Amino acid sequence: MKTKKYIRTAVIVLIWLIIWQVLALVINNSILLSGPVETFMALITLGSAPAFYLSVGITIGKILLGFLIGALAGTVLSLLSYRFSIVKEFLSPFVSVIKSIPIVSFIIIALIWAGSSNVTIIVSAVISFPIFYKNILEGLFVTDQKMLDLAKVFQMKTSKKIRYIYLPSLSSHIKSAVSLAVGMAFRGGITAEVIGQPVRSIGNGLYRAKINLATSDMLAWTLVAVISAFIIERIISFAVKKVLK
Amino acid sequence: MIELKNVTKSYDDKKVLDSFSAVFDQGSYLLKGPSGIGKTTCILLILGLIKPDDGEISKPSDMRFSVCFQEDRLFEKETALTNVLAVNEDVLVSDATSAILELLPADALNKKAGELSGGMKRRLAVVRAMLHDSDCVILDEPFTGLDDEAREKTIAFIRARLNGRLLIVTSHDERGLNDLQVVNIEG
Repeated sequence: MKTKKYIRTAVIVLIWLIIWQVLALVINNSILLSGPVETFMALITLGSAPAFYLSVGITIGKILLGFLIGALAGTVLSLLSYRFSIVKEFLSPFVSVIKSIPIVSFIIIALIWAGSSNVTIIVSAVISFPIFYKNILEGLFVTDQKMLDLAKVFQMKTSKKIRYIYLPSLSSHIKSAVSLAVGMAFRGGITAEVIGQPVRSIGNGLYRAKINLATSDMLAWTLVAVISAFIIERIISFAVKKVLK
Repeated sequence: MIELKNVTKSYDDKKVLDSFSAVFDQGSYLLKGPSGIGKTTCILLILGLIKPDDGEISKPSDMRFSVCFQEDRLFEKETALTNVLAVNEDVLVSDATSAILELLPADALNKKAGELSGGMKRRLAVVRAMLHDSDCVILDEPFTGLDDEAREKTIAFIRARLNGRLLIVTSHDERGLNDLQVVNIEG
């Protein structure tokens, strides 16, 4: 059953690659659109330079760090908001504003305040924070009151309440927060790099490809970003699933 | 001793308990009354999980309870054994195991609670309550879904594990509980 699913996914991907290649052949202008073969060749060329791996590693590291800071801040503040309604009321306008401010505005502010080398971390954190805050807070508020009453009567310790009542209730909220925040952090983080231009980064690679009109390089860097986000999201989701099991 | 004095409780506009009074001193009590009359409300009031609209409930401030709620309220993703141990930290694994095996078949021990039948869940909730170190045991409809044999075994188990604690049971069916002091709730 699983093999069948993989084969189906592979066939769908292959069909999209063929559509992409046909479009590239029809347009017949590699500046407007490079085909998958050209993009793949560009990827191999990029991959032959050690600096490529350094750029990818630094970008992933910074986005991950920002993601973790945002996740931690979102989790801690959601717990405080759940416990103290005054904290929830106090944070409510702040979280709403953060959610609605255009990401480029954050990038520009982060660039002014912290310079280009830290912009990726700050933007990833700012993107991840409200996702974790909202999801975990919602999960806490929908925790079954009847189970909390049971814990009260049986005088369960806080650690046991977390393990047996809160975590099972929060599980789906945490998983969806991770999945959403990793993707968004990658998008925002790399956008920040394109604007902020830190030297070794995926965003810098994309920017250089753009000014050189090297569309195949641009698509190769994009592919790297997409694959990195996918792998990191899978790793973190797997780890979270194991912990919450 | 637990005393309810002229307790009134309504949900929305529906009065569930109207000036209800009762005293639960040492011993075992059967809280009796037709379905929907307010037995569960009375239990939730005693446990302090809801507040009365009017009247007084007095009980020792340090009184410890163990309870089998009307709904099983088990940790569905955890095993039967973990369900018992999660709220009974001082109980040894061997004691919890042997208590569970008194009422449930051996293969139920390591099954997740969510995978157990309705009757097994009910018995597990009873085991969990009876093993808990408390001054008062409250069992709200503990025999729901049990056949006669399982019911008899469960009653014997409750009696054996009571150890002189105050017991309050609600049940539609009085079989096997005739020696309990009856407290009637009337509409």
